[in-house]
Amino acid sequence: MEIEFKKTAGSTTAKCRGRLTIYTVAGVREAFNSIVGEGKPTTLNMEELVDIDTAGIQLLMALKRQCGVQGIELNIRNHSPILISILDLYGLAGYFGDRIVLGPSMRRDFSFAYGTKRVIHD
Amino acid sequence: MNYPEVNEVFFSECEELLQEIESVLLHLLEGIEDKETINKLFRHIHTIKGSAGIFGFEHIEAFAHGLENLLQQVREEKLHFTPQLAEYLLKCRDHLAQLVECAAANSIPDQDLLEQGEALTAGIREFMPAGNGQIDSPPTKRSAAIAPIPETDREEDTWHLSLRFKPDTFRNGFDPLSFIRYLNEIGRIVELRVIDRDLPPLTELDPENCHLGFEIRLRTPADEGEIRQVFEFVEDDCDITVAPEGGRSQPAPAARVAVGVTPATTARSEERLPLPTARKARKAKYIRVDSDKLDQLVNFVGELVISTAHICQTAHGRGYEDIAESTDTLTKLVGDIRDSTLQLRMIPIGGAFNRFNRIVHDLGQELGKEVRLEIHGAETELDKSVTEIISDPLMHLVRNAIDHGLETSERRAALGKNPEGTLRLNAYHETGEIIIEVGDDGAGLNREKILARAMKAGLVKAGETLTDTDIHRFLFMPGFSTAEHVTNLSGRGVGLDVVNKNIEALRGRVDIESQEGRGTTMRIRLPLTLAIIDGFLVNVAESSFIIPLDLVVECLQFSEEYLVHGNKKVMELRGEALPVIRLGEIFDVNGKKIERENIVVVRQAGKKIGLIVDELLGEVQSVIKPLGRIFGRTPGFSGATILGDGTVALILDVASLVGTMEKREKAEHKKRKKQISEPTPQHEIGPEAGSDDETEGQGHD
Repeated sequence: MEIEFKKTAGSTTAKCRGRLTIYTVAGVREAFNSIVGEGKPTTLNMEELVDIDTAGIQLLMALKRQCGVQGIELNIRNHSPILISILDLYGLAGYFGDRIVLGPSMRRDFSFAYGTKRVIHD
Repeated sequence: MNYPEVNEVFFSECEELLQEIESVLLHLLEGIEDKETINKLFRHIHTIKGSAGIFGFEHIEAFAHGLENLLQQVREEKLHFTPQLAEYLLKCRDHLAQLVECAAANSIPDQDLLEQGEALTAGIREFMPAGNGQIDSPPTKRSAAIAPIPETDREEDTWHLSLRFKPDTFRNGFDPLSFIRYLNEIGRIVELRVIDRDLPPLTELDPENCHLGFEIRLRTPADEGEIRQVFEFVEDDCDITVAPEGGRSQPAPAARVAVGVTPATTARSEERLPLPTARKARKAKYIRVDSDKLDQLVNFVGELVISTAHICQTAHGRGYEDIAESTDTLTKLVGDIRDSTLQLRMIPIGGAFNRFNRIVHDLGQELGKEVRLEIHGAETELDKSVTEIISDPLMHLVRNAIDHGLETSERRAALGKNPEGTLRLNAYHETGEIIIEVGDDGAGLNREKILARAMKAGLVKAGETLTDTDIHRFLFMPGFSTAEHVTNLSGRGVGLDVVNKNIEALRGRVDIESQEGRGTTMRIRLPLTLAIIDGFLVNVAESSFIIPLDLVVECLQFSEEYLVHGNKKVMELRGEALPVIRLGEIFDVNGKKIERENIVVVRQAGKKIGLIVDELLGEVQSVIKPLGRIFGRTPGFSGATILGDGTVALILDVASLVGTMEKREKAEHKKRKKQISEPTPQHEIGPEAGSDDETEGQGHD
């Protein structure tokens, strides 16, 4: 997965393109480490995320949790359908706490029946 | 409804469930109490109740219902599980088993059984926490603890799944995603939580490891077996727990029990498509097979082996090279079939051992002794028929051990021993045999007592020196017992000789190892398979013999030079002393003197022996035909077999051969000793009379 960083003085945007799966997580981890290292509020733009699996979501969870521990603001925006799908199935909407925008056609596909409560990271 | 074949399945299922219930209760008695165990107990009772209801066995259903209510209280933690409760439930389980037996025998419970049931049911009420004293009547009413479930959901149940994936899950090619998605195909995930407790911090995380777990609530009409089947392929990479949530609304399990049932059954079961193996998804890898059919298969395979050997030999003998090559391949294939078929009959001995949990528990109580059962090697496999035959001998040895071997707790404490005695059941394989040990850490065998008893019975003369082994062998004589009191169970002296006979009938033997004050171990040796043998064929003069291949260590050419100087019965092999036996001598078959003899070194019970033979003819596999009754149990042979060309070869029983040799040697040795030690002339004429050792004053003829 390619990450295009756009850094300003006060924050960072990371546009993610491609796949975040078992095949790519090893490479992506370094990038995520740098996000934590810099400590600036960061937004992940997931519009062009084409594929994600459990390994991928696990890495995102690790990132989110680490940011929580260190008080770094992390947001995920423009969720692609594949990302919404896994967040729905795994009930992780509350874990990340981001606002997920469902297009009209998507409303039928996802129920978010559970896991929408905000999770307090300790 | 009453379909006999279907009933059969119900009864055998009940038998297994009751067995498991007993296991679980014994576990709970040891204090291993956890939610999962209690749930298991509940589910088993629930299944029995439900099935009994569908099949119309009202007594079973009613009694199980009472138990179910009681267990529900335990599950809801309104009732604490005490050892008393466990003991009581054991009694209830026994009663339930009796009811099932009754139904299986196609009769109704008699007055005694009914009264016993009422008494137990009343007793159950005593255990119930206040306010739940009412046991409502089955089957249509639901117990108060369960909320009524809306009509539309009647077919579905809610299950709780706990998944913990192991670190290598991704590496092994699995993704939890696919399995969890599939759950949505067989039902609806009502709730799911990802467990990230084991997820390391980002910097320490190896992203290719899987550290996630899942807690899932699933609503599905599927049963536990079908749910577990979803995870069949990832079993090794995931710890899975599946449990039903809350109480169930109707006797759903009945559908699983019905096998190949006609449309006359309830609509519900049709919808569920009862699969014969679905119920046992945990055991989904097994298929029930009629054991008679299996025996028949083994027979056929045996004949196949013989025929194939015949073809092979003929082809080689006539020089048909191309056919010979094919028959060689055929022989190998048949060998594989033979091995696989024999494997079918092998079952772990753990099944036979597990019964003893209950037996030891009951015996301990009855005899007022504290006993703990230790089982090792439960996974050791042996032929099914052998398992059945040793069951009784084992039982007797266990009873003996507890009754006579183990001391009372007071006595043990006084001796500085752990007041709780240990009974040890152990099984393992050793070169072609299976060894089963029954051991105790009790008082051991009292040599003096046995000797005294033997003398009293006239079996021993004063002054005779006997080894420990000899003394132990007295115990195997009919009617021999040193017990001071005869109990219901043992001490009558009718046991050990029967045990020995049964074991010898299986071509096995029993050894005793004992240390006074420390304990006794009875060791049973049995051959691994009764039907087909891999053997090494040898010739002595014109006769053919087969030596079990498992026992053969090596073969070499033999020369008189190898014999240790002065001793015709021992040779030296690479620095070791090796006792040798001339087969020709021992069986009295002597033909033309052959130029080069050969020796086959075998290992029997840890000891090596050399067998001197004429020709070595190589490996054969053949079916063991028992020797006819005329031959009784001729020492030295454990059966016969028909070779490819039709000749009969006798199969050597090396152990008994060695035994016979030892006996002969001892007799000779004794004879020699007698002449040395006796002061009065014996008037012996014979080879020994002219021996070199002379005592004073003794003349010889």
